[in-house]
Amino acid sequence: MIQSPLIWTFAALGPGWPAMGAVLIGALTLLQQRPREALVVAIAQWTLLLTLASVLTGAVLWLSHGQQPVDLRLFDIYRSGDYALELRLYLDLTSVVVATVAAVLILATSRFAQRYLHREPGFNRFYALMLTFAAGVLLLVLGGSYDLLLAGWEVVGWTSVLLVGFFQERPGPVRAALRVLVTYRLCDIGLLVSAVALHRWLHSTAFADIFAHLPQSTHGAMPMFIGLGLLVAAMGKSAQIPVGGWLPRAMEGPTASSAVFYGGLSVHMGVYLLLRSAPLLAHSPGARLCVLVIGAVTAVMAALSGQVSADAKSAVAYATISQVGLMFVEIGLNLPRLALLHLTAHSLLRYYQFLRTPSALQDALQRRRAMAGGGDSASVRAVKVGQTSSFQRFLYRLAIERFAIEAALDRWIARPMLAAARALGRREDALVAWLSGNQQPAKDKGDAD
Amino acid sequence: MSAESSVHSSPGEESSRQALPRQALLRQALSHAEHFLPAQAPLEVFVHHNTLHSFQSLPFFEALAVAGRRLRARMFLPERTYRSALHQGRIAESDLRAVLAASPVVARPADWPARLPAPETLAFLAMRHGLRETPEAALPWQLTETTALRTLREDLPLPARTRLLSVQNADSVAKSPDSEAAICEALWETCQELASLAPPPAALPPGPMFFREPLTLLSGEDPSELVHQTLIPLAAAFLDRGIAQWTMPDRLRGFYLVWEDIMTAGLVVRPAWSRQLGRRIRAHLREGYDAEHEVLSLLDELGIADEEIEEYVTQTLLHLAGWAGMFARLAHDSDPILSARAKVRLIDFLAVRLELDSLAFLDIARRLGFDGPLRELRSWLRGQTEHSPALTRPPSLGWSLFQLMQLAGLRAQDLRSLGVWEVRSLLDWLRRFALPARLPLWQEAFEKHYRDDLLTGLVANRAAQLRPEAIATPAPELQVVFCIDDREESLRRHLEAASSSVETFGTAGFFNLAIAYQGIDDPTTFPLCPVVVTPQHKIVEEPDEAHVADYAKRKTWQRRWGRMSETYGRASRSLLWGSVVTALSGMWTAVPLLLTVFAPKLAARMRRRVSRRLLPEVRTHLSVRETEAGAKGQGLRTGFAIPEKAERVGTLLENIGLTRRFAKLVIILGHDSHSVNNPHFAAYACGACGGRSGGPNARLFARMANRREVRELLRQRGIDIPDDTRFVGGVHDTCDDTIKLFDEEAVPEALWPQLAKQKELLQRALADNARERVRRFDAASLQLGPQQALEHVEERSEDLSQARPELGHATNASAIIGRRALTKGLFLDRRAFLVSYDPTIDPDGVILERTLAAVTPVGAGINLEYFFSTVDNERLGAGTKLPHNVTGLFGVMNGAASDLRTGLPAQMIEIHEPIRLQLVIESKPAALAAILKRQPGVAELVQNAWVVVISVDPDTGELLLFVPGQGFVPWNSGRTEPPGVDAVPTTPSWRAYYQGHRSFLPPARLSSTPQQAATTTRRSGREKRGAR
Repeated sequence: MIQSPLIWTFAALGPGWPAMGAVLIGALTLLQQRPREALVVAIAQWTLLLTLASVLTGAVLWLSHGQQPVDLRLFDIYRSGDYALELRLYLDLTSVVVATVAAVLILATSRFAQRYLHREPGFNRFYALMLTFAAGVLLLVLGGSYDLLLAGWEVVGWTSVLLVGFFQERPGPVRAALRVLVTYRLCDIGLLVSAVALHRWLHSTAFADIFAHLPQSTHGAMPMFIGLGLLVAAMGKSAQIPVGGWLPRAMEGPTASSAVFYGGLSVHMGVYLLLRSAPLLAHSPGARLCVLVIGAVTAVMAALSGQVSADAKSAVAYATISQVGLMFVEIGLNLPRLALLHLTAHSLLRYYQFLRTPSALQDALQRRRAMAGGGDSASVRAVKVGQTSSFQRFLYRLAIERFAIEAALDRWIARPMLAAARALGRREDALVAWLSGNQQPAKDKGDAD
Repeated sequence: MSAESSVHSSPGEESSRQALPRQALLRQALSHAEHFLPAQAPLEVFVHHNTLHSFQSLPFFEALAVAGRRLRARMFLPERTYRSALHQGRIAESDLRAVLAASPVVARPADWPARLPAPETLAFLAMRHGLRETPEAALPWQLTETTALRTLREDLPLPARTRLLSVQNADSVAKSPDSEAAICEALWETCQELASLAPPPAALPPGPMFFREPLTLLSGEDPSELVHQTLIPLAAAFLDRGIAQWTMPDRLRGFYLVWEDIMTAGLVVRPAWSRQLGRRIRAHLREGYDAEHEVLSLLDELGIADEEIEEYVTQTLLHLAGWAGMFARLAHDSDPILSARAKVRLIDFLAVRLELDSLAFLDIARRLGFDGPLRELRSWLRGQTEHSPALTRPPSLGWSLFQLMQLAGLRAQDLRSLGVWEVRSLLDWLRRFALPARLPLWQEAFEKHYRDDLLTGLVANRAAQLRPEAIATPAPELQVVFCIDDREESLRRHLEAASSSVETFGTAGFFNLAIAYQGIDDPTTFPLCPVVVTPQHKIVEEPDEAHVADYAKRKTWQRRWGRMSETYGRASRSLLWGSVVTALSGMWTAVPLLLTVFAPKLAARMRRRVSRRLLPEVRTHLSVRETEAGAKGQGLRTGFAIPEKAERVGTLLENIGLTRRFAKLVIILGHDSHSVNNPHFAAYACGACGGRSGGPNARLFARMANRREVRELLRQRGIDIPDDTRFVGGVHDTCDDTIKLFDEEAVPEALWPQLAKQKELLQRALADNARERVRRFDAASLQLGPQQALEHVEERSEDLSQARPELGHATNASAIIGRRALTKGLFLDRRAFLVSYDPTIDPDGVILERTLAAVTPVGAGINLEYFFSTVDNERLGAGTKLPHNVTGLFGVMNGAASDLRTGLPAQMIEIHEPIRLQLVIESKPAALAAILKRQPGVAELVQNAWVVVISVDPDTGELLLFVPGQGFVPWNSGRTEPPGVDAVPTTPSWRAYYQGHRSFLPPARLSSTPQQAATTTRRSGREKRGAR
């Protein structure tokens, strides 16, 4: 058992290093307009190396603690009456493993992007965002309470949005980023509501406190309510049905960020949230059932959509969603260890697959060479006309239309809301016109807007 | 009618159009529209071609103007880029003046005010300093928020400033800024007043207005947004060549019919905007519509008149030009994978697109309050918007005049003294001299600068080569035949610098052997020849007898690996197997992942070691079974008959002028390029071999030339190859700078020491070459030694994160056809295609004719693709590689649903300077003129100035420039005396010349003797600084 406070502080600096790096790059950009690429990379590499060191230190501390969860209280950020926002870290198997994977993958990304983004106008912006993202992820993973987790969650969300819209001079990426933003905003309400509910219910959101108090409280509406809130948040971040439409669109960013955000880390954060809350969910079979159903439905639908996708990144993206859906299922079945294993292995695998998506053509040619004489690759086997049944065609249609979820959301939610807003706008115009004594209401402006 | 239609239709066609039924009109429209679509093939067979190929029948600058409007693309660099080139010396002021003096645009018009400087002078000032053109609407901002009316432009030339302020004496001006302001204001008021004398600019006749623009304008919503989200994944799935694991069913029925089938299968929620789709499709199905019916009926419904069909179809297709182009391309050229699996036709794509378009139009219109049927939409839209908004806002004439007068140092009173006609003439001229007129002038000046440098270098070098000590070269010990590729220029230079007993040659890298080749690892044959040629001969690589067992082992392992990787790929994307695979292998991916990211070179070496262990290197030979003369089977013939071999070998040797003085060792060197994580890999390989390796051709050529029977026949032809001369084939990897020689073990033992010595020499030249190359990479230090440079380029070729494995043909600018003596010892900065040709053995121009016919289109294709991808990388190139997403194994998109990106990515062209190919030919102009008459393909490029031809007289060295319409005119070096030996800097070594420079360098000569070198280094150093 290590006691030295210096070591504890160093371990706690995990999220701090990249934040400092990001601030430093930002400050340099302010001071000298465009710092050299080499300098920016050096800052990123060093801060991320320190991050990794901090995370590993945390891991050692946790091990030396007999693998018992460590609740590390550092200081109060803010205190008012009953309420205290404490900076505290929570180290257990889940957080230590996920934090290590995150630190390694982000370090690899910073190395990869050094050449991949060389001479790109947004080079420094990419690094600043990536470091901010790293700070967010580590705060999310290592934070000791739902409050801190929420803070990290938001940072991760915002940096993801900005990186999807990395090519801000093109309309496509910006639209995609907006889509991500809307999805995140809506779903994050779930996490916020859950945190508030926990404050009211158990008067704390610190994991150590909650997990200590839980056994006494009986099954009831509260765990279910909180669990569902968490599920909504997790669905958004992990691109589960029906709010997963943003993920394939998010491929508008550079390949390096696709890898770390959608392949490696960001998309797994929903799973992490549920893993973190596993003790809570254990008290609510209802919430767990919802997690299971959402995960199972997503897994099947996304797998089918992935099968018919004809572009390399969408194919990997849907495969990712589908596996993440399975992780939801595992959590729903109350198998957190399995889900953690799945999560770790999966982030590494998909990260690598995403980095290699530009190789799709070269790989295919190589496979074709290797299989010479053995016929073409099975996927492009010639199919005679009329061999498919109408049910298969129907299934194909479902898969390629992504089960029309977007269409349904647009048709039954987005459009009616917009129409209602426009109608209200017209009413208001008319009302204002009437009130101001103008008998001729202004020509509809609502439609043109 | 604009010039666009004249590109493809003759006037006769125009007049007969009225009589045609709409179906014929549609077909005609489609075939015309196709020409405007990118003609890029699937990426694995990427071959450079002129992006504006279909405009080649027009003169270059005219074509650019037409294509710019049609494709809505920029055709030149931005003016500020040219201007900064002027400031950096990449364009000299004398270049600009020379171009202006010759330009009809700036020629002195009638009634030109005598008090004003000559138009060339004004034009020069305007271009050097810029007119700061501002549209009328932005003027108030300029006037109130900037100091334009209070102070003169800060960049005025001193004489102009002095003259403007000369009313007062200089002292008082400095003290009272008001007087400067007064001068400014007076000048501005006068200019504004005079500008009103000019007739208003002629408004362009409004083009036909269709749906997209007015709807977007009215609603702020682009109908294509709705359509593309649906259309693109479907089109990708239809054309897929192997990414999707579940292929679209029934693709042989054609896109339109399959799409109808799929869209009516079962019950699925339809998007709000295409709710009517099912009903419409079912109606079509009842009528038994095919794609053409569908298009025709939609064109009727949309109210497109007969004469608008072509325009509407073209606009519609250009809206997703990459996809439409891929449909068109795959419809024409049978694709080995798709042709048996899908029926690809452009009309199908158009039909689906129009159907979706019409639904999207209607949906947006409905929300705008339109409630009629589709038929009435167009007239309704006409009522909503009077006319389409002006796309360009002309700059304020008064403001431009104001700027110009300042630059010329003219005051208000100077202007007021002009007569009305004089003012009109001036304003007219000024309006003509707008940006579209200036850009071609800039481009010409830019090219002239490069051309003059190059030609000066050639003249100086010729003078040096004519010296007795240069002529008396020893008999060569090694001769190397390279591809003409601009990237080989530096390697040839370094090889010759390393030893004076080396001779090098250049010829198109398929070495006159158009073959269908199947290597031991290839699934089928691939054509290794220029894309315009269809090979008649099949060459198969076979394992040597002693290695058949190894070969079998290799095949087995390869197949195992192939199956494994295929299964793994599929499993990792499937549901349940995916989780098994993830659980089993996920953690282990950390190893290759971290290795390839952090130590790419090490990872690649480890991979190679493993694959060597598993896949034994197999010694092979090219198929020896040769059909004897006359045995023409169906399709491809296996191998070449002896007389054919002699013919091919003899022709090539004559082409390059290697018919005597053979060295003991002649290396035929093809080239290839290997890189990872790079969908555009084929664009880096040998263009003369269809985007593949030229190695097999080189190997085959060497084998043929070594045959005793072939040499016998060659002797009859007058080419006497000594018995102890040996040809060896090889391939140069232009990315990691390695050379692999084939069949070395077959070289007679007597030559081994010689071979070993020459290989060492090659290795040294490769290292030097790598060192020269890395000066262009920002990521490489300028201080790298030769070995470090080699390691650097090796790492580039193996690094997953490397978006620029090499720079390809970037910076290419010229092609030089002639004897090596013309260019030997001259630094051409890897910018020139070098084609060997000996005019002394070609009195009647036969060799030159076939050389030009082969080289001009290839060189121009590469050069012009780089040109257009550079001037507008977003519209004519592929944009940055970073978000590229390999689609269907035929192209790349940005993200998950964008147009296919054609052309070259930004990473390939960022250091390129767009310059038309300067084609220097060592030949009498009369011979060239005769060839142009016989070769229409070459003549089109030359006479329409898509390439610039310069002839070098083989005897006198006189340089003549081909000017369209004027023929060959003497090249004017711009110097008072003709350039001599010392017109370009000399350098003791290439290294000394490029050392410390990242950017372009003008030609320099290698000083022949060390003593001479010592005296000239200093001078060359000085000139270099001057040139930068």
